Amino acid sequence: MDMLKQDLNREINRIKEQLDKAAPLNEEDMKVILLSMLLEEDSHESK
Amino acid sequence: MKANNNTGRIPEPELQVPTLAILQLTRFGDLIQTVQAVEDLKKSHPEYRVILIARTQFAKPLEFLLKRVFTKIYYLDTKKIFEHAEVQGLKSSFDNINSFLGEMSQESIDVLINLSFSKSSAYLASLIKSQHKIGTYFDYSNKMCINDKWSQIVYSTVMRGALNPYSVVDLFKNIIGIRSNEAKKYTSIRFTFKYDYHSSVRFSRAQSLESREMGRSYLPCFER
Repeated sequence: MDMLKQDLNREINRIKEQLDKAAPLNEEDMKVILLSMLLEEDSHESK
Repeated sequence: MKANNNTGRIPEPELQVPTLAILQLTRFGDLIQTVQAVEDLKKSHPEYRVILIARTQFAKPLEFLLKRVFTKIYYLDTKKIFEHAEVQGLKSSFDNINSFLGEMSQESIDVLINLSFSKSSAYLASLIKSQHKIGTYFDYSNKMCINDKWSQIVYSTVMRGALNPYSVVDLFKNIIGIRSNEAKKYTSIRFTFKYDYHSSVRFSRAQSLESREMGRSYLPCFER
């Protein structure tokens, strides 16, 4: 698996845990989610 | 004591040109429909500064068309954002998205209008600074917010099935806040933005030059 996906998976899991504890997101978390979604959309585009 | 200016009159305050940012991250068809809706807005309000935020792969081939209605186009280039990220990891993509958002933060956006209805666009809308936001965006508890009624209609009905009896261009126009009959009638309008949670942007206290000439002031055109 490439480094970006590894990093994103780790960060997304951290954000999920954070949300489970009802802790609010910050802008950096939103950027991680945005990047994860853009990457997913790009992978669909290239299929 | 002498007055500072020759006429002694108090100078009229300069009207700031309002900036509307349209966020359209989806494909060619949606971009073309967005152009059609914004063309109508420009007919009634040529003084507005309307900027577009779109994905490079869809917006670049349509640049010739987009430049006709948008003052500036911000290209979200995901190829560039994810360049070398496979080996460099999240940090390089993070730096690239920060650079894009940094460029966007130079804009003083009055209203950000998200016409995309995708999750990615809603997160991007959350990160772009704007006085008012129309369409989908996320709050810090990760809840999607849609405060205007037309975006609520599109999100809850049009996006949920294949049978949409309405023209997408008309839906976009309603989200933006355009009434087509008024677009022809009023050519020069002064306004202040006032946001209402139950509708799109309200161009309240709008005063057309025509109505001033007729002795009527503060014609509430564009009010819903």
